[in-house]
Amino acid sequence: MSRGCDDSMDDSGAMHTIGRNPRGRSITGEKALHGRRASPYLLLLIPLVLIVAGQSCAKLAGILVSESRAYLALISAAGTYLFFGLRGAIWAVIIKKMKLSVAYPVLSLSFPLVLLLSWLVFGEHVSPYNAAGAFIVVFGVVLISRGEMRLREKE
Amino acid sequence: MSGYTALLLMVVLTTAGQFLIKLGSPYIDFSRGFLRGLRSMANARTLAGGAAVIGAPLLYMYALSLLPLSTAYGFSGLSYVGVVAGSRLLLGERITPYHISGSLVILIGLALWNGPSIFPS
Repeated sequence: MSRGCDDSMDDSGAMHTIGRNPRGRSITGEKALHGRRASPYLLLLIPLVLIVAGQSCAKLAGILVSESRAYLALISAAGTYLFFGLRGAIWAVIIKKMKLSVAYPVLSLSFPLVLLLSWLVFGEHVSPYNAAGAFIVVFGVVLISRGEMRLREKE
Repeated sequence: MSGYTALLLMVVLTTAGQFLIKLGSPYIDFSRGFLRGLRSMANARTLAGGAAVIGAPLLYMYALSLLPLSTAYGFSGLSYVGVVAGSRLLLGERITPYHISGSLVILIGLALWNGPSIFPS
């Protein structure tokens, strides 16, 4: 039974370790918690998704205008502004807990993401320059996260 | 104003806007309710940063009326280098050569995005 208990602790995170053993194991518990804590930089997925959503709405509005479906085009255009505003507001809130030198370059991942979307969903032509540029942008972000890992190792 | 001046101004405005938003972010506090949180967003730094970031694309559009898209795209990549370097110089963030080279690589990626020519003949 105690084995089963240990297993569930492993699965559900170190919180339980702290909760069940407030004395003695708290330090290791906190360490485990710290190690498992999700990086605040994961929050950057929110603005990234909002950028992609906003760009999709803009593209959709363009398509709808060309099909002269004005009402739907207007809704889609409103969506573009909504996502744009939401992204800005969320960015101002989440940047508080992050380094700007890391968070801002990560947003450049929106370029490859929008490219992927325009290719997969809208069936647009992707030039070799687009594809190469996208890979290079991703590589740049990888380099920055590498630098961040180096800094953490030093600490 | 030439297209290049507009692009450089756009980069400066985007970069400065990001710094202002970062400097305003400590004043934003949603812990005492949503409406108070929204009101805390209306601090001078965040508003100025927001205005700069919203205004920058106008310069971009102006530049696009004079220069090809590939050129404008490449220049917009400069804001990544500006923000990373400025985060060290103005905000005192710890960075490594990886951060600088990463931002330069992003710049190269965007410069290549729409074709090989940054400076059209």
